[in-house]
Amino acid sequence: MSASTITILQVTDLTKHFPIRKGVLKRTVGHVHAVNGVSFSIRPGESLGLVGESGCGKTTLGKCAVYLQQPTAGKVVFKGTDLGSVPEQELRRLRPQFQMVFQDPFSTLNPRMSVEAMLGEPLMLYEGLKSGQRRRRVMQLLDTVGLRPEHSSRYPHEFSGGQRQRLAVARALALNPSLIVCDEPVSALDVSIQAQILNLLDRLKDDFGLSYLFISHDLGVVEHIADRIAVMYLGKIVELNRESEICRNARHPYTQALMAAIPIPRISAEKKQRKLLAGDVPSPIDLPSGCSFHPRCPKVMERCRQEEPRSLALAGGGEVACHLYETAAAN
Amino acid sequence: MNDDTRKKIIRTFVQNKAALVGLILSMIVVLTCLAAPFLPLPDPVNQTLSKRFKAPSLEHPLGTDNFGRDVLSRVIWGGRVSMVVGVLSVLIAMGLGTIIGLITGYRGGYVDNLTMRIVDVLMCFPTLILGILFMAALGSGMTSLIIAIGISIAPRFARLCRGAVMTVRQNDFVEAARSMGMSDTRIMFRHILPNVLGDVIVMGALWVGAIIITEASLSFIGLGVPPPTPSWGRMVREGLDFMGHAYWVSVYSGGAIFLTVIGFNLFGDGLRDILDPKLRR
Repeated sequence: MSASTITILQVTDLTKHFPIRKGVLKRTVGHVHAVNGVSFSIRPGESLGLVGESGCGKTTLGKCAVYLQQPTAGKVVFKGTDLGSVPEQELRRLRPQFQMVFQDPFSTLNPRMSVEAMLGEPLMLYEGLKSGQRRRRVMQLLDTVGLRPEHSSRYPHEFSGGQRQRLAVARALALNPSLIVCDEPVSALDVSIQAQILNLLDRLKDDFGLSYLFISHDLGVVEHIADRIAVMYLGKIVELNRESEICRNARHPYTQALMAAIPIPRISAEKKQRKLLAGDVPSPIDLPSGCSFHPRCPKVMERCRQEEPRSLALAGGGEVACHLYETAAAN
Repeated sequence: MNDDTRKKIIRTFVQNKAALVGLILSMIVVLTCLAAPFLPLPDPVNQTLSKRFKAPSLEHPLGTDNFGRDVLSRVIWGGRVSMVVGVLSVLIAMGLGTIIGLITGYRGGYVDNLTMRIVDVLMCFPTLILGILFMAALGSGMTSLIIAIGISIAPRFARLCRGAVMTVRQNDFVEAARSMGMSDTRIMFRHILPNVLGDVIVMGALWVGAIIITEASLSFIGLGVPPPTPSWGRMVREGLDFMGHAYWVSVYSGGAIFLTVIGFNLFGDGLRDILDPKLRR
């Protein structure tokens, strides 16, 4: 990448394959190619949106990026430290600096822990705070995410989905991380609550100088929060560019199709013919030859069926993996 | 734990009539057994052959057995043995089983496979046979009896706990704890254990009764607590031989087992409710 001056997270050629085992002997009969050679970087204070259909490897990529899952290949460098090369002990010591907010508000909180116990635990473990200070910090955190002090003695089942996600955000914030991976943090919420949580995340980003890797299947949501957007299809990033470029000037046929699928609240626009994708996503077990998108691409060429497109740098800092733009980039 | 939570716990318990009854029943049984040396009871092992098979009367409220021993006295003294064996064996089994279940359920893989195959093999044998096996290895006496029974039923607790752990492990809060860099030990004991403890406790309460019977069977073949020390299980067994003309020997000792088991079960259920914040009011 051209402007890789300082990066907080640098992911290079990340690959994650899950073996499929069958039979008594648990022989490996194939692999699910969840993530196939993905590279991107996140700068301090930046939020990178990651969009794609369900099953395209977004969550796996997010988990690999914070080493909750061991990548099959590739490198994850966090603030100059290659997470794959450090010993387990050291990795655990680094973990507080990159946190994750999960999708399901109902399994993200321990039902047997009160809010105070849950938020206080990391403070006790890592900052050695005594109970009085801990209490104060917990109240502060609750206030930060828009909850009231009396919520601290409650248990998760007493909260609504939106409040639970707020608690999950508070927990992620407890250890002053510099990067938060948000894995579909609003997908399980009502639209009105979604906006609240998105605004909260937006505000926290500025207040605490956070960077986000924001994963979602909803372009509208990602548009709202991301500075740059990476579009993922079948385990690969097909296009990565500034938010404005992706929204107004999508290059990759897949991105164009995604943009076309966003409903526009205008009657005149509705009349225009919308190009929607036909067919289903191919199985990640047997990937198509050449470009993974070629079986569904409206602009497919002979070359796409055989040759996998490289990632091409675009003028202005973006990149796209499509044969259509090879000549344009060469010029 | 703050005052609010404590109040809720007490309220839940008082409102849960069944649990309260369970607690009272278990307390009556436990306290009576503990108080045995201070109660005006005849010697439970002293034989008076002239007074064999006396029906319940003022002098002997629950009658006498085939050696003319006072049944009430034997029921109360026998409770001490049965209770200690029942409760301690269950605690040993719960402790062992829970730790094995936590580790295998959380780790999975080879550790899990290997341990669970061993558990499968152990669960093939009836508890009694396993008990005999371990007693033979440990020698007789109450301590080895407790350990033998504890080890014999530990696999059942391990299996139960493992299953529960595997379900809990799927939750995102476990992943969140990992992402904060917490140690596996901490995750297992602080985050997963409280979520599976309810199931384990209920099963423990159920097993106390079963163990009292197992102890009887072991005593019967001379591997339990040696006679003439009374124990509930053995009294039931011995009484069966003369059920026709002296029902009180079996019936009252059996009744004591019944009350204890009911008490522990109801109490166990209540305890599970208390441990679950969702069920607190």
